[in-house]
Amino acid sequence: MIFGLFDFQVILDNAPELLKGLKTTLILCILGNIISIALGTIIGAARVSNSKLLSNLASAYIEVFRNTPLLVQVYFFFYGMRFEPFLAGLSGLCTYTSAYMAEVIRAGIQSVPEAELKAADALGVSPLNKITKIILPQAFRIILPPMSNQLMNLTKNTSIAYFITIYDITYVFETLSAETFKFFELFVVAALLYMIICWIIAIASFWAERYLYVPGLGSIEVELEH
Amino acid sequence: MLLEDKFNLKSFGLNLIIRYNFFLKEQPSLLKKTITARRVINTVMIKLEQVNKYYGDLHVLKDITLEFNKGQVTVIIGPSGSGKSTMLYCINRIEKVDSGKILINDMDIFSPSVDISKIRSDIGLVFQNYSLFSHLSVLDNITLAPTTVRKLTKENAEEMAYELLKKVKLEDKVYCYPSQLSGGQQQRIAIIRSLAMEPDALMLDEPTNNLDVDMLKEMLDIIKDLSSMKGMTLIITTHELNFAAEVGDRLIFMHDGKIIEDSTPKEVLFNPQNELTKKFLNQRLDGRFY
Repeated sequence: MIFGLFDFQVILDNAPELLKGLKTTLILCILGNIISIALGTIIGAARVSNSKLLSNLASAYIEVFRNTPLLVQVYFFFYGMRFEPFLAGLSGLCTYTSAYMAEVIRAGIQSVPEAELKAADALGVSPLNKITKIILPQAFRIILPPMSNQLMNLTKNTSIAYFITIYDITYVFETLSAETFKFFELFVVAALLYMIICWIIAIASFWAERYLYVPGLGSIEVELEH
Repeated sequence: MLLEDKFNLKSFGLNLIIRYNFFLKEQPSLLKKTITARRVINTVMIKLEQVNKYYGDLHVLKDITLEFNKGQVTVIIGPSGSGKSTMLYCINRIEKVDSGKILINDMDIFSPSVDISKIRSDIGLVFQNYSLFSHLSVLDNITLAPTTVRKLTKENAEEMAYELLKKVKLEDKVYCYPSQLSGGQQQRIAIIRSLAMEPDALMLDEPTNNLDVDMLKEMLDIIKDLSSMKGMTLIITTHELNFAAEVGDRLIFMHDGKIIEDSTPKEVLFNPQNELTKKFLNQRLDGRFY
């Protein structure tokens, strides 16, 4: 059953079902990542804002959603708020990941040297231009590696959608293996699919890092390569 | 004590004269140019009226009343923590004052109706630690403010940047990033980044810090060029007394947030009136601390 006896037939026979599961996972992953980044940016920016109220609200959000399990959050939206399965899964993933993302983005924003912002002030650069031309480009280079980690975490966490009957990769493979008893084959392929999605994110992040490389900024590994 | 003071000051004066002569021999044409071309116009550009500034409990600026004339080169000396830098920050409104007024061309910069962006682009400020934007190349560092604040086209701004870079002999560093430049090079880039805004006045916070003797002379040339060619109003803080003597029309000694002496460099350095000034000059002279 282990090597040499790997049954490809069961994979090929159920390909349409598997692809359907993959599609749901991909949608969940892409939407989740986009919303998490957007939400995380807003909350991260609020966290470092001068307004006490905004900063405290953002802190409260981060504390609540970072310190509770993902499954509890998903169940809360599903059973507690009575959301549709897909919406509940997406909401849980987004609240959980955006709390982490907010912390990553806060650290990125705070890594921009105060002196450079003062220099921009001294040149008469407007606050909006200061954000778009100095803070964001620098912060983005710093947060790229930890951010791609969060994106990959979210991708793998989509498997939790299985618990609330979303038809994702894990769900499809679970039901198929219960029917065919080909547990080994099916779960190896499931793992491979998750790996491939994560690889794509990792490679994209790697290329972005190289493309945006500036001497003296960003991660050390890239610096050594040049 | 008094005798010792006198002796030290004398040897200090001697030192200064030697340095002067050395400089004259080295670049006689430059000095001549400076002497003939420098003209101080007696119109007030920057005016401080009883300015007080606190950092928490610390009283940094104590009732400062000062005027800076157009085209004048003012050098401010004084020990660390005497409020020199803070005063420059206040004139640029990087720091707020707690009481008093700062007028630039008769406009109160702290009144809410004032366009601070305009004032800041008229009065450049170069920081002690250069503070170049680390993610931008030298060229982008220089053109960022002209394109976003003065709304110049990219071509015009870059043309001006090249011209300025040529003046400070750094035209081969256009595409370098700040981390690839030496301290002195970063310093010069920071100065021309401010000059690209074509300001009427320029404030330099410790431009001589961390510069070796060769670099010091280059910095001297740049500053003399600014004052003589463009007639720019300059306010410079420094620890280098020789440098102060050579570039300044006027020398101010600050101590503990107060103006102690305010006269010509010759008067302040050779004939100081206040005990604090004498003490400070002595320290500078032989490196002893009291």
